[in-house]
Amino acid sequence: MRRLRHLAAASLTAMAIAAGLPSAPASAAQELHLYNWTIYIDPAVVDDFQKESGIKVTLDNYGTNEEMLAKVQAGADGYDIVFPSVFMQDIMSQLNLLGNPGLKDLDGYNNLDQKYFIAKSDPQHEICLPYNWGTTGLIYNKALTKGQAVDSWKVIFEPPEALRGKIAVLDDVRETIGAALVYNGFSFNSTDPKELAKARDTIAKAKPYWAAMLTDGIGDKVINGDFAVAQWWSGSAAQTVASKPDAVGYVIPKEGANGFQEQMCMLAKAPNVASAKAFFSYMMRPDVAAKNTNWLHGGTTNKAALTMVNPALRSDPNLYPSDEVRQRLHLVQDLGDKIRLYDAVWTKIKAE
Amino acid sequence: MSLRPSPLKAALLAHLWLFFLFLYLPIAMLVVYSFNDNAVSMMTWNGFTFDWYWRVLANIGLISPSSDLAGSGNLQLYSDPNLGPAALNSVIVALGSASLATVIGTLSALGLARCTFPGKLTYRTALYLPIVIPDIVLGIALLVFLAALSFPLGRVSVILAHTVFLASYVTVVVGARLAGMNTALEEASADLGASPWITFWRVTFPQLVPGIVGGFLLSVVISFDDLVIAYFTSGVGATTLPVYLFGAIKRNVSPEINAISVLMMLLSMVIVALALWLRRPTRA
Repeated sequence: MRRLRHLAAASLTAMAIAAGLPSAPASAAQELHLYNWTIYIDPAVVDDFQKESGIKVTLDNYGTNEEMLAKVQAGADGYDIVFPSVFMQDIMSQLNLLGNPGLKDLDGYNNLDQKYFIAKSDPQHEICLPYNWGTTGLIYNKALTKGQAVDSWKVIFEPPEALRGKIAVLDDVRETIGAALVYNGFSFNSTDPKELAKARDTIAKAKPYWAAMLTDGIGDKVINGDFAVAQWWSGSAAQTVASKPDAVGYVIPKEGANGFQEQMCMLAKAPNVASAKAFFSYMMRPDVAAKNTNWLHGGTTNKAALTMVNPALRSDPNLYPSDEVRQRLHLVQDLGDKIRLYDAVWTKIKAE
Repeated sequence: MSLRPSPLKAALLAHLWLFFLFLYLPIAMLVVYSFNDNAVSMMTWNGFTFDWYWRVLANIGLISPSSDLAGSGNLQLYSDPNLGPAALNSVIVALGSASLATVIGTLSALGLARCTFPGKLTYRTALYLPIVIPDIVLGIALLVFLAALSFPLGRVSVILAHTVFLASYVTVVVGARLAGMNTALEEASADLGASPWITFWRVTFPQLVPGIVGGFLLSVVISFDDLVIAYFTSGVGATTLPVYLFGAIKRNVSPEINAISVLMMLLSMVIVALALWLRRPTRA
């Protein structure tokens, strides 16, 4: 009898828990779920959107394209908008993961500048909104590099005596090998084994003079003087430079560099399509795009916003390069199976 | 007994002090820098301020962002509003999953130690799987499983995912404690007429408490630290601190992280103090 009572109590508890657990939010208020890179959208921009439209916005973060792809592919739904890089947009399009918000019919579509990097699968920017672009160049400590030329990849791959042991390079397959390829005059996306071998040799020769290969904490270390020169992304570098302009600077090397661009895309399984479209319209407004760019210190793709961008950023040739420099920027392309060639080179480099 | 320690003892003492210094000096520096008024260069001391703490409290919603405390100073520009909520998520997930895992793990350990049932060996072996499997395999498997069930991803899904592997850890810890326990007391209690329920609560449980508490604390730490599984099974609004920091370190992490770390430390000290207080010797 006692056992029966215990059994009844246990099953009631179990049912109560089961009933309480997966509760689909049946709230009346509209919601929007953003899935973005970390520290890649101005919190004030998100707040303003919430206040204006009354839509509740949540923001979650990922650190690389591949993480986001893995999660979305494995079935995570609940996110409305993601921010893939251009090549990742092509991949996701092929996998039918992206939804079409019909940007052409939304307000502000004509504000987009067509001359920036274009996704092969979406040449008219109808599916994804070009969000932010930048370059991977060099951030340098002004005091330590006084009198040295830092506007070339030479300072990384053939460092002068004074800077040896104070160079940092990104711990990223495409960025590092790509920089070596560009330094040798080849394309950033080259899949020619001979060119890759030359790049590998360049890196192997320079590696003893490097202090570190890393992707984190670079800003602090350049300010401190632990690194004299470091390869870094323009947005983060510009934010660091803005905080201490007389100590550090950012430059695009003259041989060329990686140009990256992130797109704002809606997922095919997005639960809040109307909210997502409202957000797209909002982001295409020139004042909003300018506010976001001023915070990101990146490049805006909204030509109507250019007049509202902070003049200090707008006039910096390293953040808004001239057309001539822009010719030397290479957009990262997905290499498909050929990435194995890069992996082989990378393994060799890391092992030595 | 000599008043001066022998050379060997002196060397051991010196080693002990060096060890503690090595362990706690970085933490002490963390505490010091959390009061640093320098938003740009974390390492250069600029002045004493409580501002970072007020920013953290404002970001997790405990004080109003427009209040005098939180809005003062230029640190507002360098405050990252997502750090605080991520840390809060981590705490909730850690405590929630550790509690669930402790209950399940203790029951598991008791069952394995006291009962025989068909498939016991298989169960015991399967128990070690979540500990041995690489995190990323477990993470993706759990995500695919949850997606197949159409289970909404969020904080609850992370708690459940963590419970899956934490229960194994607790089972191992409590099982070790059970193995070392003398069953004579339990047999005596049964001989004297106590029911299994009374025997458990009055005899077995008090002896098990150190193992249970140890399992709980271990689970909290492992859950808090976990990056991969939390990444894959978290949903909207459930970003935990390690997941957030993994992306943030590629850019610039706000020095607010120092204040958050100190607050975490205080929280864990409170938990440990509570655990010790619960275990205090009471009058029999």
